[in-house]
Amino acid sequence: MSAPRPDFQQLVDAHYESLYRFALSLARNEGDAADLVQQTFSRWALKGHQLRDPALAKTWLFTTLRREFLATLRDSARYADEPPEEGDGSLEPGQAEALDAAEVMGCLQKLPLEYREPLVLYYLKDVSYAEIAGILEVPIGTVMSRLSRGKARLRKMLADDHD
Amino acid sequence: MTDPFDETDAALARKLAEITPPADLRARLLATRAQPGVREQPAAWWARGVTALAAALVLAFAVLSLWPRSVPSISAATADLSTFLSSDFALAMQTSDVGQVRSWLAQRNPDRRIDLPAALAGHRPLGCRELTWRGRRGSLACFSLADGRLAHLAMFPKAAFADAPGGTPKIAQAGKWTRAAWSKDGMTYLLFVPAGVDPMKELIGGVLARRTKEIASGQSWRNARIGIELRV
Repeated sequence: MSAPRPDFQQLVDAHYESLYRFALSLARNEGDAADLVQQTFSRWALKGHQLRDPALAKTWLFTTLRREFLATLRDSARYADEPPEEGDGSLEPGQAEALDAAEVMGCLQKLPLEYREPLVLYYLKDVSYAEIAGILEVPIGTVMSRLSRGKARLRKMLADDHD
Repeated sequence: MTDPFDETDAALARKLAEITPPADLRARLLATRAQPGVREQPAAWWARGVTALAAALVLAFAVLSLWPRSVPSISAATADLSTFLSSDFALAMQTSDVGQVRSWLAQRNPDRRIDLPAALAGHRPLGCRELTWRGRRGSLACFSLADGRLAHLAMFPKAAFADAPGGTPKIAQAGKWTRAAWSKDGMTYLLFVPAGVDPMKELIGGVLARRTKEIASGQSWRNARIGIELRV
């Protein structure tokens, strides 16, 4: 027996904040991030009824948002990644607590996309490894290796910023 | 295996959770509601057969040569934009001066030649914004009609669409909107006005308005090709 189909407002309330954080990490500015979320829900309003398993609604929303962003990426150089930095994971928990949210998001936005995407989804916490793999359309082993490298790079960047 | 979710990860996750969306985003999203499907004008039976064959060939070609990056259709844009326009979206620049609308569009589109239809430009503008639709960057200008209802003109490069129309406007119904779409100088324009004929008459011209009225009343489905020139 499949899960009941959530209504539009339930879906918005359950996911729009997480979707916005993911979109902000991708688009790197608030206006584009909000537009991505709005485009995603617009597409749901048109196509969501075609999803056979309502339990997959969250994955559908994140996947759609990411595809919208990637389509934009192909059309624009605005989101070009900066050269990656090597990291050694030297950030301590106390240092992480002292950071502010904008600082953390700023460093996430500087990470290459291949690390940024899984890492942000990982930190959203309500997205499983399997769901991350589904959203990013890569094997779960790839998610894990990118997470490991991404975490090390992020911690190095945050530690450098904190010094 | 990946590294365990440790205290530092927990702290970073908490920081991420502190980021809040814009205050009006939830309301904007809730204003996004499903619109009835887009209904293009039906063609004659023989035209439908030819069109179906042509569509099959085009689709096969597209799948083989363009996959996975297919070029979306005007119908898809109409459906998505009609939903978007029914929501509570924001404008990047608000003005009642059509000159400012023209210069804003020119600044944002230096490599594109954008022409506002002269009749549309005679209405009071509300402002404009950029639009990104399925990766295609475009612009949107909004106008207030004489009766206070709104008209929206979306502008994209012609190459953004697999089936961009020619210079003759194509009319479609999209939910509570009537859409006219045409192309000129490498740009494709999608004009959305509230369903009905009067706004079209005010915006584009009497001939189109008469044809739109016939289409809306079901008198002329099979011969709905509209032979007018836009007044621009």
